Amino acid sequence: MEFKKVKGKGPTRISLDMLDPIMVPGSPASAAAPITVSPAGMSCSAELFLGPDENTKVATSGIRNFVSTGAPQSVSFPVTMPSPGGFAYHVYLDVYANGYLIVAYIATEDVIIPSGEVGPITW
Amino acid sequence: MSEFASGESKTAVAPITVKPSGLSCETELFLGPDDMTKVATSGRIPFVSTGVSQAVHLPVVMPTAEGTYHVYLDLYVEGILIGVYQAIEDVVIVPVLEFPHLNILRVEGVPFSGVGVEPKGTLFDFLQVLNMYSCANWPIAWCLTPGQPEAIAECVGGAIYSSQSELIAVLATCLEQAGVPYPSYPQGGGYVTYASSIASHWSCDEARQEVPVAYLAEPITMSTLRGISLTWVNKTIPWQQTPGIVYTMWWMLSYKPQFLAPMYGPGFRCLGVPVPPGEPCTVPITELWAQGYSYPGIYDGAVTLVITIDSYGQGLGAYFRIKNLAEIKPG
Repeated sequence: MEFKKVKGKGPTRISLDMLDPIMVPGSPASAAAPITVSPAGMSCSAELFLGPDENTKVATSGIRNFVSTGAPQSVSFPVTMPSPGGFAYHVYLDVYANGYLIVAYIATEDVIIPSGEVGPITW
Repeated sequence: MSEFASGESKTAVAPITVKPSGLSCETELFLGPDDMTKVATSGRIPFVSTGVSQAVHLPVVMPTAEGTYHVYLDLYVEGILIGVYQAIEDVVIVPVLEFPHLNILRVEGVPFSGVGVEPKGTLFDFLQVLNMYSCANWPIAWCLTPGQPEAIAECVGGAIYSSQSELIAVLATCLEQAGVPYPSYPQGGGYVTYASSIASHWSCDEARQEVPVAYLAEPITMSTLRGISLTWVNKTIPWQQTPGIVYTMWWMLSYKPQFLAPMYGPGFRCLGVPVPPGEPCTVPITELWAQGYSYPGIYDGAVTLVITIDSYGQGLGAYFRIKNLAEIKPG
């Protein structure tokens, strides 16, 4: 699952390694993103969230803190998938340095939370 | 609760809704004692989600072992299991009568409570042999008067399945006990000679032969004995569209009373049609072809199937009985 930059300066693209864009409703999942912030030593944070748009957070990892190293470091984002299913959600990633939003990303693929329903079976 | 015959092929139709549309989906229906044990399964059936309900067909071959099975349905999207369902009603596999070329499944839509074998000859059949010696048919000094054939048959009982010599000995005693006048045969022997004459019309060996039998838990109540519908499934009968070969398939039903009735029950028949293997078929054996009186009591059914292929057809037919098939109540 690839990300494209929506706004801000900084890293041009972040690749989010996801096993599958199909997720089970209400299931826990953890995204791992290699993030590079320069220079090293800065107090950073990032948040990954799902929603129909960047202003609506249906599911979020919350703020994840880390210290920049100037080199790629893997940051984990545990998220509980939305429930009920039946929808596709955009995936957003915001990166902060010293409390300031420095870059915002949107994944090139949506996460699909399917829903299933089975009616009475006849023979 | 759905009841099916062992090994019967059935197709479940499940209305499934998966959202959003356009997703590659699969579903599997299986039967088992729990959701980890698949005794019978449809396998994974693929479909593409439409966002609305769609009927998915899941063909299953029923388990061979009789019993009760839970019904489960698993739903996958892009290979990921998203839903596990269990039917609120179980499936029950009921006994069937099995023959090399066909199975008999149900009578009048009612499954059998059990299947087995029983002796070919019945006490009612032996009574008909005794009736040959009734005074109405054989007016001599030691003929059997009304009531005596029934009493003698009851007395003989299970000896009809023993050896011929034992049958003769028991029958001789029963003739005397029934009050039959001493038979004055010129050559002597009395009751033993009389019993030997009667027993010559009965084969203990043949009576002991086993015939397939299916049991109904409760007999069908009838005001007068009538035809019945029978559900069967073709397994290997070679119905082929071969020029010049004509297949006929006659089903015949006769009623055998469980009690010592004075008359046979009526007979019914039906000309069947060729059907391909697999799908159950119901035949109405309702054409009356032999008359009879209907006395109150419980009757078994004796069904004969004769399949003719040109002038052949041996081995493709069947004979079986249905215990407790019908009951005529007094009044």
